[in-house]
Amino acid sequence: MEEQKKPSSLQIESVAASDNKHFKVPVDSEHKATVFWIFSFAAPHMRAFHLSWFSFFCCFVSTFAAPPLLPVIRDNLGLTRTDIGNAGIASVSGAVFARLTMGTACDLVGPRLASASLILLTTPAVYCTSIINSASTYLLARFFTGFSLASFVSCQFWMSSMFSAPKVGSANGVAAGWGNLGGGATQLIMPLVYELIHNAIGSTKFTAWRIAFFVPGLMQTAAGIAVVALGQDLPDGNYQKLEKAGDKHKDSFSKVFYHAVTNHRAWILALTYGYCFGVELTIDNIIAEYFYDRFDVNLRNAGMIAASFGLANIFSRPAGGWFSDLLSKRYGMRGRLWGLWLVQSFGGVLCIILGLMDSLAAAISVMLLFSVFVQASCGLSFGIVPFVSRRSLGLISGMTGGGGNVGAVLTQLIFFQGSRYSTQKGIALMGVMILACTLPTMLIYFPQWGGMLVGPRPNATEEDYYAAEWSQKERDSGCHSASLKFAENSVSERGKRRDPSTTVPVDTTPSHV
Amino acid sequence: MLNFPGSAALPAPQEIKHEAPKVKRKGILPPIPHLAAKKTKGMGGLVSFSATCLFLLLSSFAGSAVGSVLFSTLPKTLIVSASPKQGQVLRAGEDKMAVSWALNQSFPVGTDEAYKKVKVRLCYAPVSQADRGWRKTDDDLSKDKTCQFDVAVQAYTTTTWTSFEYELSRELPTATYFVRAYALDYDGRVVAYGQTTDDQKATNLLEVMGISGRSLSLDIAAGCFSVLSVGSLVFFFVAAKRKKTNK
Repeated sequence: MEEQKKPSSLQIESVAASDNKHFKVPVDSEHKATVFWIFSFAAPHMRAFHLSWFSFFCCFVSTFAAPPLLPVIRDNLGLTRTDIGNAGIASVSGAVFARLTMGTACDLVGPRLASASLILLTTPAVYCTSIINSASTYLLARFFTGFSLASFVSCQFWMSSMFSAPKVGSANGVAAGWGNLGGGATQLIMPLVYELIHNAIGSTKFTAWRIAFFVPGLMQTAAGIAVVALGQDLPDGNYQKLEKAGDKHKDSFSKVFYHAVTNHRAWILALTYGYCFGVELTIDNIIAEYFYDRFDVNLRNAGMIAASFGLANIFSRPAGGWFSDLLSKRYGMRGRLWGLWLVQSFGGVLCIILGLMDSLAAAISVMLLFSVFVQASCGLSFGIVPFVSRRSLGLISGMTGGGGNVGAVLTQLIFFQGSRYSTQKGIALMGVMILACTLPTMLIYFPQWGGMLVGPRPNATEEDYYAAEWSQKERDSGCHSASLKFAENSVSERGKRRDPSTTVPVDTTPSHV
Repeated sequence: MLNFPGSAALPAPQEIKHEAPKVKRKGILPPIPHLAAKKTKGMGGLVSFSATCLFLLLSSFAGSAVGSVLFSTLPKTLIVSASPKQGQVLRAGEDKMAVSWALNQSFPVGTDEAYKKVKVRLCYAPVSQADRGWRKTDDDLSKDKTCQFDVAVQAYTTTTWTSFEYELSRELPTATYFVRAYALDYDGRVVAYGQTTDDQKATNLLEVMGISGRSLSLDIAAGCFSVLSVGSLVFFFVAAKRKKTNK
């Protein structure tokens, strides 16, 4: 992959020398990285990448730390299936509101402070899980811990602020994918820690699971402190500093909110994301118990199967992001939209098949395939989100992310709450829901790039689209300059099929930088 | 994700045959178009490594084939009694109870010819099974999850009563229980049973209060670490404000 090949130090120096800002990676006119060196820790771009995915990973570990230890927790607290179901819904419903708030916070105070505040304020809920003593306190602990999943919004916002249009899909995909990996990793980490405390230290099992919760808590604390201490909001500095220097326009919440909620593309993406990421969250909550009950595998093996679903994120969600960028190179935004629809629809078909599987080996194979497609469609979704709006990017990321949680809540309420449907029937019906809720992707239309079924409007430009978010008065005072730079760099979304003379070489640093 | 005492299927483990599921190597992961197009060392290696890990994980699962015993076919030839009175609450890890078992003399001589061992277990009463599928009763003993806790395994003797004292394990959850004894033959197969309660599992039940697992030190640690998290956030905000006013 070309992003893995680092240019020579001479090339980097020539890029840096052309501007008084010294960046260790090639950048565009907005100082966003035009390369994605996954194993680099260069500040501020790659450092932001590693801080964002790791902090999100820690939040995922905390939120889903309880399900793998449920066999012990449910006995200790006397939980019923209904209690467990309600807590599962609570764990993902809290983040709906938190994600919307997080999007706005990112727009107003920047991803660094917004992310660190959320992570460090939800950490007490993780520690307090170790002292719960009833079904209601278990539900509350999972509810408040679930708020931390909103760090996903700051993660995606941060990547969109640090990486240029041709690389944003990849950056978003890898950051979110490696973060989501926490959902699988916790299925391995928590039982391991529990066994260590229970067997090596000799604690009773009802004390061991409680002590085990200090591990995700400490991970989250460390991640939060690292974000606030080492992170940077934008390539040029933190929001506070840039606003003070007059390099960044301080936006008003009402206008950010208005431009987000009146954009139909944001609502459609929230719906479709509800049936890729929402499905992933649902599966994280039910899959171990499903294999345990349906195929009579023991609890350790059921947990390993559950872990394999989440661990597929190491490559599947990033693959979705890379696939989105690849399609964009050739077919532009229309390619991204077609990619999302095809991959997510195929995921829906696999979900239906999973619900119909009767043999263990076949069910595991289909589940692994399903996990790859459903997670790749998450990456494809966030290959589109950064282009929906420049001014309200944070809130739209929040709306989309919140849509994921709403999808998880609704799916669990409809199909996996009580005994209306068997779990396998619920899974099959969830697949039908995926197919139905992916269809509205066809309604997403960008005047300058077109949609799945319709081409672009003649003479519509990127500049017109992004400048439309600013009033004439704001434009006259130059508040929209960042949007214009973004418009200039998003010309690549036209793809190779349209007049190539109008595109700028976005993979290289523009000469005027 | 965890194995529990007594959760192993009856009959004895030596009868369980492990057979790896037949899973084809191809087709587990779909081809990723752009990775196929560009042969990359870094990402390609990562994908193939992940695929290998997932395949190894798949092939490690073993399906178990057990010669199942149906509970409904077992004769109730044993009489079992336990010392606690109905409604008495016992504390896990502290209290003890006396358990006794014997052959029901109303059965003809030779009924117990095949009996070699008696396995005594603590079982959940229906009130503690409600809305808890993981404790469900199943006629197939290999799938039955009613009796999850071993009390004792003793050699079968023809004496009138065999008694012993059992200290309640600290691992017992708060629930309502009864005691059941299974008679095992020379192959370790369950051939008969007896229990302290009636067939409806409504009488002679014992209440156990499990340990909470909480301690003062845990409460203090949770409080301290919570303060550390929120405190560090406050510290960074104050530091940033100071920096701002100093400039």
